[in-house]
Amino acid sequence: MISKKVILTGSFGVGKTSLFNRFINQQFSDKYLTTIGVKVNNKVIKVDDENISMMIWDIAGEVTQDKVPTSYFLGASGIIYVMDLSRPLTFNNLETDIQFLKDLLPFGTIVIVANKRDLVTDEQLENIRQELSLPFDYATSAKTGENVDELFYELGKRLLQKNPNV
Amino acid sequence: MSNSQYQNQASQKNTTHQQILMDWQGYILESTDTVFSTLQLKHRPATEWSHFLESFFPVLQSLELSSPEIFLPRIGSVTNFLEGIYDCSFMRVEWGDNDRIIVWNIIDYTVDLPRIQQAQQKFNEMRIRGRV
Repeated sequence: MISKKVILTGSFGVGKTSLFNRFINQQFSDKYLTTIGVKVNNKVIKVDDENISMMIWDIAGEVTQDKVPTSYFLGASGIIYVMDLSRPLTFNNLETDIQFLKDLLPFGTIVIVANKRDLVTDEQLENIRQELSLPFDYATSAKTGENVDELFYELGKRLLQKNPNV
Repeated sequence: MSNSQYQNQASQKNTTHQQILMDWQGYILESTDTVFSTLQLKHRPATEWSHFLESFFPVLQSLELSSPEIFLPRIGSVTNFLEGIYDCSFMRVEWGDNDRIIVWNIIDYTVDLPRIQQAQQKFNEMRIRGRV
């Protein structure tokens, strides 16, 4: 089986752990509980008849990515950068953070996710989309499950296409 | 750092330190067993009982003898059965006539977790509400 290490990162309180729990356990809790350090878990998904073990590192949120220990990113194939649609402060550093992550993982796949879709209207979502300096790949809701499985499956697909044997 | 340096650091911080020697396939060769017992784990590679190591092992297998120690702070799930918070470090060393040995140091901060968690929770909640 192919294993891929994937990092969930972004500011604090954006819902990284909720996305992690929704994807791994199909669970959601409204209670915010801050993550300390890193939690690692995995889930096997099937993409194009290939089983991929997605090894997900759920990292404690930091306001800017340069505060995250760079050793966490060693061996990673993909990064999911999460923002909170209901808290504009969490996408203030989008461009700088993504550039930092690209420098750190030049051959990795980076996916930008706007979470808490359930907290904004279609109109608000569209306004945010237009205001952002970089486009997001997915608008997700860990609460309702909207686009969560799709996000991980699409990432798995991209990782396979990029580097099928590693 | 050496084993004794880790032990000193751990004892100064009132925490526990464990050192494990693994072969290139992730089988445990030696362990101080001070944080968790490895007795039942020795017949299986670490990648089978630790998602953390499963995801990180290719990095360890790429280490050279001259590579610097890799430090990973605050790992919440060093094994699939252990809850807590641990600092981990890894280094490739030579042991006897085998130069493909990995030293895994673990410092257990679980005793501090409730305090750290509470402080960080409070701080993050204040920041979310825009009070900091």
